[in-house]
Amino acid sequence: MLRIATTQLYQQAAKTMGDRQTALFKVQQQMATGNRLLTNSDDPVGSARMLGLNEELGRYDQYQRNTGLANSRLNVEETTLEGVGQTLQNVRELIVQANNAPLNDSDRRDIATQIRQFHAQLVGLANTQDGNGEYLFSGFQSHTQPFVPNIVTPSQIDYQGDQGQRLIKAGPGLDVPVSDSGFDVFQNVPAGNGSFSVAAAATNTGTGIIDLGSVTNSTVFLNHNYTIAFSSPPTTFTVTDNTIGSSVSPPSPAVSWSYVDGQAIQFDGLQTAISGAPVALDTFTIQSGAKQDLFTTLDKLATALEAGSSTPTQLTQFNDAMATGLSELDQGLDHLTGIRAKIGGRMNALDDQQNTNGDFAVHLKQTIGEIGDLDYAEAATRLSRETLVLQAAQQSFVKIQGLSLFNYMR
Amino acid sequence: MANIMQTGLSALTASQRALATASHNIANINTPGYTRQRVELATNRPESVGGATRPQYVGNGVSAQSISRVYDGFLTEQARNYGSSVGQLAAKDRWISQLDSVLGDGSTGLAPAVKQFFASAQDVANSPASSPERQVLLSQAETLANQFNNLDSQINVLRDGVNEDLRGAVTTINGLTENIAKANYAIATSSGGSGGASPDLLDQRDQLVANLAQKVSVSTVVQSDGSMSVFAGNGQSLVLGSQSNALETKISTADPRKLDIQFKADGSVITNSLSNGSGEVSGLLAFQDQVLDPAQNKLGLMAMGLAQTFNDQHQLGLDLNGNAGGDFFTDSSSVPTSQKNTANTGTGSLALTIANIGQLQPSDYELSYDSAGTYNLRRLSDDKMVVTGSAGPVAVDGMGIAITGTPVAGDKFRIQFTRNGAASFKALIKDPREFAAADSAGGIGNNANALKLAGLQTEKTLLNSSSTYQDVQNQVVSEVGTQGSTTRNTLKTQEALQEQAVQARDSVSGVNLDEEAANLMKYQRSYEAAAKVIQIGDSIIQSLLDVVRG
Repeated sequence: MLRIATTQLYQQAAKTMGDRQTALFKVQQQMATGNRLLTNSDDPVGSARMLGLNEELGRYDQYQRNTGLANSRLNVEETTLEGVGQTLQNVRELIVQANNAPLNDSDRRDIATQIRQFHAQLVGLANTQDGNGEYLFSGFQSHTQPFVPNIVTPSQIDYQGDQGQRLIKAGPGLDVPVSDSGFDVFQNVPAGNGSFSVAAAATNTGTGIIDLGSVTNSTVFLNHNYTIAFSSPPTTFTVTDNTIGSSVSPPSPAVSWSYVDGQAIQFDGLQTAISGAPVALDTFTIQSGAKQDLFTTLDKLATALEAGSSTPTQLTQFNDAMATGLSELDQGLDHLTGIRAKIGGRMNALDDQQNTNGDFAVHLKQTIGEIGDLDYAEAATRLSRETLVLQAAQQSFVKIQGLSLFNYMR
Repeated sequence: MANIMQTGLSALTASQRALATASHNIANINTPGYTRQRVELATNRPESVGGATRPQYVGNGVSAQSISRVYDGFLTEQARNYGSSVGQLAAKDRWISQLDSVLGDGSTGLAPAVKQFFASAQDVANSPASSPERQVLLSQAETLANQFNNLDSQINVLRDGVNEDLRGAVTTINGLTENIAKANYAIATSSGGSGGASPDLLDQRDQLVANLAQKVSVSTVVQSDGSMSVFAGNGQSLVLGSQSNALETKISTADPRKLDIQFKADGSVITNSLSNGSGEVSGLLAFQDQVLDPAQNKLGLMAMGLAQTFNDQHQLGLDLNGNAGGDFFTDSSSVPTSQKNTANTGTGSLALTIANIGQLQPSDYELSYDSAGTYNLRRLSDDKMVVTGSAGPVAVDGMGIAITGTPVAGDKFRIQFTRNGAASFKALIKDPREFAAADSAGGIGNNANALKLAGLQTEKTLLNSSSTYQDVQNQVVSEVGTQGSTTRNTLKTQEALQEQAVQARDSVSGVNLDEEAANLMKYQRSYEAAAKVIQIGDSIIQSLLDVVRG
């Protein structure tokens, strides 16, 4: 039988009661703070994970801020481009009107004046600033006005910005563009029919006019540049592929190109036609992938409307300019639709990402809660258990320490 | 007849001794280290009567042979040894929990500062032309620097505290060994041999040794004259007979921020041998070498890594003035330090460069020259020899080490590559326009470099592409936390074992009041009976006298 020293009784009681008090103190602290982990050593792995998770949560909060900002920037751009589209649409209606109705030169000049106004409006839209005073369409040069009239030729609008595109981090793997440069939006617009543009040389003396043309077979279309040159006499002409520097033969069995007024000229998957009376040495060019800015398109239309159309040649030139201009307006509208579709796509991506980010943040918070938050039901149970044990220890100690033989020595 | 009186008297004396001893036991019930005492009673030599042919032996009463301790040497030593373990672990636990609270729970301190710094870098990326966002970024950089600096200075406060504790422990050890030596002298001279010394003196010495064991683990040998020699570490004697060997602390030759413990008399250093044992001193040294150093090295690595990788990317960009970005944070190249061991005799010194920040390890290194004139570079975190050679430069673990001068055999250098990283971390840029948000294309609205800088937060740039900046801090928190919980659990186990050992000893040597009460009654009764014997003896003599008179 083990002998017990009296001091053991006291030491043991003091220790067990001390242990219980420590446990009670801990549960009280946990309940007061709501935290399961009071020190890192309570759960080292959990604590380190909490640090990582909190950092991640912070990043997702930041992503949400970023996407909010990105959305508002894209909204401003979208609204501006909607205005640009409306302006082009208005111009297009005027051109259709100018083409159809029997108008005299004065009527046409009125229309030209309106187009000049739309031109100015377009420049204004292209120079839109956001709430921070930054230009939307100047690339990275956001404090530089992107579109200004050329000093020598004021009708020509020069681009002062660059082709920079600002990205915003919307998610862990998603950088979303939140700007489009003025070059991309207003300048890099396909000219002519969208695939190539045609032009009569300025030195031509005949009345030959080249048709806008089209791509008839895109699989064999080469994206090359060509020159059509009239021979002497101008009953025949040659076609030269300038890109590879060789002549293009007419469809067999013909050996040379012969000129028929208004007849289609077809080669390399494209088709055009020349009408009127070209003279020897007149040349016409076909340029693939040519680009033209929207301001020039409008300027050319206004200029054509301002020119007289009394002679048949002038009328033909006017009609041709209108047709080209209409086509180029359509190219502009298509181009704009493309950019707006991209913006729409980005905004969709942002919305999706915002939802994903939100879901993930909720998930993170939940995980953080699971690791770090106190289960109050469990803590309450523990509190009453520890209280009970401490009380029992105290009561039993008081009982036992009162037992002594000395009580009976009188 | 006189025999009865004599016998009665001997019983009276014996009972008195026993009563006195019981009272002594009761009086010392709460004295630490007290061992209950017991009177050893024995019969006196009997009186032989009836001559040599038919001897009869008449009992001659009782005498107290000795007053001895009820003592078990094994149990006492066991309790003392557990005291060493508990002393070691308790010191370690106390300091780890302080470091733990310095590192914080992540809602305050370094982690939020890192988070907010990179968030504000993204805010700049969102509006690169806007001045307020840039200003906020610079303020967050200041905050980040403050957090690194604060954390580092708090770690240094802990380091100073550990050194203070070490000095205190050494002072205590010296006091204890001096008193043990004095007790030895008293024991040896009072008794002239073992066993005869006062039990109370032996108790006191045992208690002194037990107190000493809490500071440093000891082994003891009792000499023939009763004195006890005490040895620490690998058998270095702290007490030999009545002679004590005092210890002292001295700034370490290898690392000026640490202390070495050595003998005052001959200056021989016993730090390593003490740290291998147990006791508070060993716990303090273990905390310093195994917890505090790695934590400070890791935080230093995190700070250096963040500063350098951020600077590198920042320098690729252009600021609002169109200039290439400068150093955003303090350049890390001045952080690594090497200390020449103060005992070096050669002229060698080291020049350190960062060869690859991503390969740096959060460890101290020791470069030592052996007799063959070759150096050995030892990584202290895992005690691994990483390079051996005869001439510099050394390239290992992302470090570049150039050796100049002529080191000689026995020369040592301590390299602390990342130790000062957190202390040196400062934000340098004061003008918001000088933050290089643009890439080399330039432009006020260009945010390409800001995006890349913000992206560094999630890139695994450190520890051989295994860790982000935050990962490194997480590792510190989890390592310190793990060491804390391991230490605490071991401490609990050792405390329980110590308690068992103390109980085992107390159950033999401790005073039980009921037992003593019973003894008091028992000897009170025997005293009364002995008095009666004397009374009867007296009345017998009286009867005889009456006969003579009558």
